[in-house]
Amino acid sequence: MRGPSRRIAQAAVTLVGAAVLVWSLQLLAPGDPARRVLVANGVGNPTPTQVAALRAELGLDEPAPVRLGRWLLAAATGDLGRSWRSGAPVAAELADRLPATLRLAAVALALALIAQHRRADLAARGLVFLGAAVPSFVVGTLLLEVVVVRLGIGRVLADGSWGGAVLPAVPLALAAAAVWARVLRAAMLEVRARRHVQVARARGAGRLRVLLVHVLPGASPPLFTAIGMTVGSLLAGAAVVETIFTWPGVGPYLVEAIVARDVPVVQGTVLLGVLAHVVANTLADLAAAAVDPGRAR
Amino acid sequence: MSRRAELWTGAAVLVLLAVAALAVPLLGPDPDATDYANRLAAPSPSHPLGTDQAGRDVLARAAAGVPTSLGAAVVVTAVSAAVGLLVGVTAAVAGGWVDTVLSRVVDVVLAVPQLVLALAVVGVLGPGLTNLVVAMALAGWAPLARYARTFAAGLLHRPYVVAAELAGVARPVAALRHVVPATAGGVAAVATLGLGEVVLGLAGLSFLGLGVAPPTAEWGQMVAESTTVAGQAPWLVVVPGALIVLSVAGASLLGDALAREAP
Amino acid sequence: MRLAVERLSVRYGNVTALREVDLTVADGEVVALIGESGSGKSTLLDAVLGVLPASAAVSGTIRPDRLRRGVEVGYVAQDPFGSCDPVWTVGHHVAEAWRAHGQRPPRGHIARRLAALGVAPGALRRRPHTWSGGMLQRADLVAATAHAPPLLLADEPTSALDADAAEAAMTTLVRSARSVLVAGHDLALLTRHADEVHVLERGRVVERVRVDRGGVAALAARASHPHTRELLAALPGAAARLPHGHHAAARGAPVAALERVTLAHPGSGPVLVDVDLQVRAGEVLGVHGPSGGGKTTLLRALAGLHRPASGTVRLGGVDVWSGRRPRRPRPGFVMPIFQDVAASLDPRWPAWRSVAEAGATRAEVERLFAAVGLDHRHLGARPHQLSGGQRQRVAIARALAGRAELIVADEPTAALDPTVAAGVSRLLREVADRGCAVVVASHDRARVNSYADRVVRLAELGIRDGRSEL
Repeated sequence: MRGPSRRIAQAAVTLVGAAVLVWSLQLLAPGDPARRVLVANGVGNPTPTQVAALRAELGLDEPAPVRLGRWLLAAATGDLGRSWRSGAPVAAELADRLPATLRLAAVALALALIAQHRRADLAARGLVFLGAAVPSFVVGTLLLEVVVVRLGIGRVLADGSWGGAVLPAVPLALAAAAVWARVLRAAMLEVRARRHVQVARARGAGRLRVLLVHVLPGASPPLFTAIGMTVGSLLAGAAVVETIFTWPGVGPYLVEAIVARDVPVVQGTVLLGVLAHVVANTLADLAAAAVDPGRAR
Repeated sequence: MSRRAELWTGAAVLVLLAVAALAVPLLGPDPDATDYANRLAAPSPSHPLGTDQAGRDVLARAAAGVPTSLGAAVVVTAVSAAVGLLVGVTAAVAGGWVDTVLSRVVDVVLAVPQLVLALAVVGVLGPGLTNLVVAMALAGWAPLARYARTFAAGLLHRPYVVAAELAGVARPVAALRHVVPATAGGVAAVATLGLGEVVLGLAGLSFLGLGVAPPTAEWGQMVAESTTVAGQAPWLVVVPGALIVLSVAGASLLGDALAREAP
Repeated sequence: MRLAVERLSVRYGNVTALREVDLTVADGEVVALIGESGSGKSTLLDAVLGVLPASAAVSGTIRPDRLRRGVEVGYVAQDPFGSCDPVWTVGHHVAEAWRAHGQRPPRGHIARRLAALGVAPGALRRRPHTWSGGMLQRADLVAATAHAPPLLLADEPTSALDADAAEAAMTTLVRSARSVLVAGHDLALLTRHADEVHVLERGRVVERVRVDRGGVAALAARASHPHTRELLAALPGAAARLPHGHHAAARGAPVAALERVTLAHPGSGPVLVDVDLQVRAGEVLGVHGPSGGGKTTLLRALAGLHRPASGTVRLGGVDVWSGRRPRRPRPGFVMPIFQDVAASLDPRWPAWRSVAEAGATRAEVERLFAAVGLDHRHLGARPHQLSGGQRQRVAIARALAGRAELIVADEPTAALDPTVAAGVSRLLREVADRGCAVVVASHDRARVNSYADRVVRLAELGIRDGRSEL
């Protein structure tokens, strides 16, 4: 089919473009990166020789396009360079921490989906409003305090397992559920007003049938789009939540790297986030188009 | 809620916060004044919202946070909206290769999730409030540009614009008269809707320690400082959190009301 | 089965949609409900079906009541594309008529019925947007009559179809059930197929006429109520042909000309091939054809908005496409009238400003408003405060403000009620009589014939400079 392959091809091109963007950001940085790394690693007043040596070691003297090309080619094969702090391969360090984040994300998505079912009643609606307005770090901190410290349920230091993921997933799920609920509600209202729903009723279909066969499928394309967008924001959300619950995921790794100006780690992690975002959005687009082909984007 | 109710409630909330930011410093204690003898005190008549771990009055600090947390968000939103409107309208009106190039650029920026992009920029520029504002503005203009382009492109095909062109009005002039005002309104509404998210984003990044340096008051950072003592002094988490909720709610109501007016 | 509606009144809040309506559909009869938009036709059908919203206040009786939807009473809606869920295949849509009642369609039944209506069953596997309007309406009819209900309700079943498809659809419809109650505003079509006609005006049945499928003539012979007479007078062929000035300027250089023009859309095949067409001052040229046939493209080409794949477009003798950008003799030489009345004026501007933009001073605008039958109240009104007919008049005033020598009108009256449409047609005729050239594209052959000097058909790719089809 022409449609889907075109979308996928476009997504691939966009992905490469985004990778270039992510890499190019470091050119904005003021000052000398080698100097910063030395300072961040505890060398208070680096001498010019030290700086020059580190520059050579990190390959910072080559022209930017060359470095970009090298990085892109390497990234395509899974090599994200080495951390400027630990010297370990970024890909390996990410792989170490990724499963924990993935489990957290999966549980959060599942919880948010389940929450859609209970949208109707008042308590759920209030929760949904809060979810959109309350910052995840406040929910997380309060949950940690109340559930873990006061009530003693769970462990203060989380271990990255499925069971342990439930509590930290709540603040993430809350934010996602709020967005999805709003999208779903608007979509369902719009579909219910469409003529074919009235025709189905006029031909004898009962309320449940109308809901399951006509309203929900018709409302699913915007929901797919919203889910796709949520996946992208999970990395940033995870950074906060994992910090609070000391969850051994990718989030704290990224934050520490930002503070230490460990560019390869920041680039590699962000690239991972971009990949997830582009893939999720493309899948969502394809699903939405499959369900409702006439839908204008 | 009716559109008018939303509009006035939302505006009222935001105005209230702004007024508090101006009034409290005049009437209350200095937000930076430390008083270690009185740290972590519960709310009392002399300190209506208690004191924090350095003995500073929480109410004063919370009010002092308005310019940093809410004010910065407003700046971010205004800049993103302006840039997004400019790029989007230019792409739609100019058409051709200009449109193609600008749209591709927007697509690429959109491929990076907003907060992640902000994190990446902060990772490059370093922590600090100004850098945070720059980072979030860089992350926020693209969705608004895409919206502006779609909106403006739709308007350009409307019959009344075609009629104007046939009557001899030059395309840029017709665009300025018919397309820009309506698009600006649409972008303003969408941007205001996003104001709440910007507040949350700024607070979140500050929470992670990437924002202002202490002792400047900022709501996200205030929560970060208090996680360890959340058990003894929950108000230190709840008060900034509630203010964030209030700001987001106010912005959402206002943005929703503005959006509902759009044709 | 005999449907009897007695003293039915329906109110939504403080709006009364139906007042004391009495209606009977005898067994085996076809009854037509005729009325303009807002007259209450749909409300009446919804009441019989039992699908009025809960907030509606209803009084009166309907016998038999609580008809089992789908089984005892069938329903056909206006737009077949709107009636089918775009998410599922057409086959699924038709089969839903059985599944909604917990049954499965009998094997081969749907295919047989569709074949009988001239639709290839293979297309059932595809989704609605790939079907044509006429075919989809037939498939929808199979769904509506799945259980052979004795009574069939149809709400404007042919409004979305063009003239040929509409005739075929009506014929099939009235044969599909024992008794039929059909609502619409197309007098000519309905009186040809109905036994009895009820005329609705603002929620009240003002007249009941037996026409025995006799067409407009039968109605005209027996109708007496003023509103019915009004509807009859608004019919395109009914009044004498609108008088028009002898087009003295019909000789001389053409205002607009297409010379061996081929029109195509980027990425698809040609829409019109090798077209030769000329329009002269003072004449109204009608372009007739089905929707999607290329009328709009032709008009856009005449206005210099669509570059031809080959050939020359001339406006006032000037070659429009001699350069990369279109050249017109002067601004305002050619002005448009659109079908989408709601979008033809800037919603934020008062009406006078939209007209002034075309090149008129405020004083001139006031004169133009008077010339098109509007008064000073309408000057400062926003489009949403004006009716469809009034907005169309503003658009015509705008065309005059540009001192247009050519007006291209794309379905100018399609979205208007018949009486209003008649008024706008008259106005266009007057404008032409004062020396402007007018090209009108329409699928309403009768309406166009009533005020055009010539009508050409888009029946095949490429058109010949044709004669009137009166």
